[in-house]
Amino acid sequence: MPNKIDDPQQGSNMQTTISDEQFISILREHGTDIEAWPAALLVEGKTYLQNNERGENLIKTIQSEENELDMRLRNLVQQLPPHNFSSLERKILSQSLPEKRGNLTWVDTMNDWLFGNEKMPHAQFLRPSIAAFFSMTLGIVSGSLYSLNNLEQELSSQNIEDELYLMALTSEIKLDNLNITELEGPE
Amino acid sequence: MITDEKLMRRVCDGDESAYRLLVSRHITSIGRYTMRLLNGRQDYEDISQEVFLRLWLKAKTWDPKSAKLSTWLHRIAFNLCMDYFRRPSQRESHSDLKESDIDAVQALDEPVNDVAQRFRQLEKLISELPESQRSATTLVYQQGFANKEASEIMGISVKALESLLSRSRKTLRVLVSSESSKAEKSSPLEKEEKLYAKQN
Repeated sequence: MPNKIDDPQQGSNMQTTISDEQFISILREHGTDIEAWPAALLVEGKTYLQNNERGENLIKTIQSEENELDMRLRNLVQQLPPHNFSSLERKILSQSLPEKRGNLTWVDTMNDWLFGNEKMPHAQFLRPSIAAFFSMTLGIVSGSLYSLNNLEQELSSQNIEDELYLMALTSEIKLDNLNITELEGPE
Repeated sequence: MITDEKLMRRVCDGDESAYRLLVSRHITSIGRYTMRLLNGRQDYEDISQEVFLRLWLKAKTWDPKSAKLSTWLHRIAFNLCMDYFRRPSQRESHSDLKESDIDAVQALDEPVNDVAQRFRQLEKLISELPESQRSATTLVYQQGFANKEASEIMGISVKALESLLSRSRKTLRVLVSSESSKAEKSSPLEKEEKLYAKQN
């Protein structure tokens, strides 16, 4: 195996928590940019580099190895036999394209949303229902918020007027009564 | 040659001939990408079809300053494929092996003798990668996108893409290292090890 290290502890310092082999394995797993390593591995990686002279060389070596591997893979993948997509192209070109519409007015946009198009038949039923539901809810809410308040206000102001009128009427009646008694006189 | 940008402007005005030209120009790369991502499932045709339908319908949303047309189309294809994988029915059948796959698995144990067999192994190894790694590998190695463009297509950071590539390389190394062992060449790491051993 070309990439195998025979002695995992070779060159490593006792102060580090990871071995050379582990360091190489992490380099291959997460790339040679240590700053991009997951937080848990970052500390260990930095400690390893501080305590091992070999660390930087290992990074360079893995980097050149990855570059070489990259190049080989690129070559290999690009050599894969090409697939013929002419039947797919015919299929795509034969499909009827939806009509392109120019600048839509807000009425058109609203209409499109409300009644959908041939691509979304379910929208024909769902969206008008949603629209009706929201308008109804809005109507009920606004009705309950404004109409009743006004009615109460109207009622309260009307009550005061009525009461004043009644009071006035009562006193008049009293006077009338007095007058009536006075006018009638003792039987 | 008329540029993609000019053709897209004509598509915005409803020019079908410009649309046809764009389909012919991009069908191979989009077809190859969706086929690779969907591991050769027949649905890749529907997804490719949907990509070009969106090109027709959403041509106005493409901004030539922010991305190349091919990047934009690959991004649409990637999103459609991810939506496809999210469907519950696809999750179940995702790991199903086809007859040709079984052959390829058997071929992995055999020594690499000819080019066709090596390609079969490569196809098999790529198809076994998780979706995101498969997408990153295809975009960078096969479609020739730079890491930055590939990361934009997949909606991830460049570092995240590099991490995906690192992981896929780990899988694909098996194939490449078997070639290199045949050539009896020592890897740079081995050379470095030997040098270090001499020094000490």
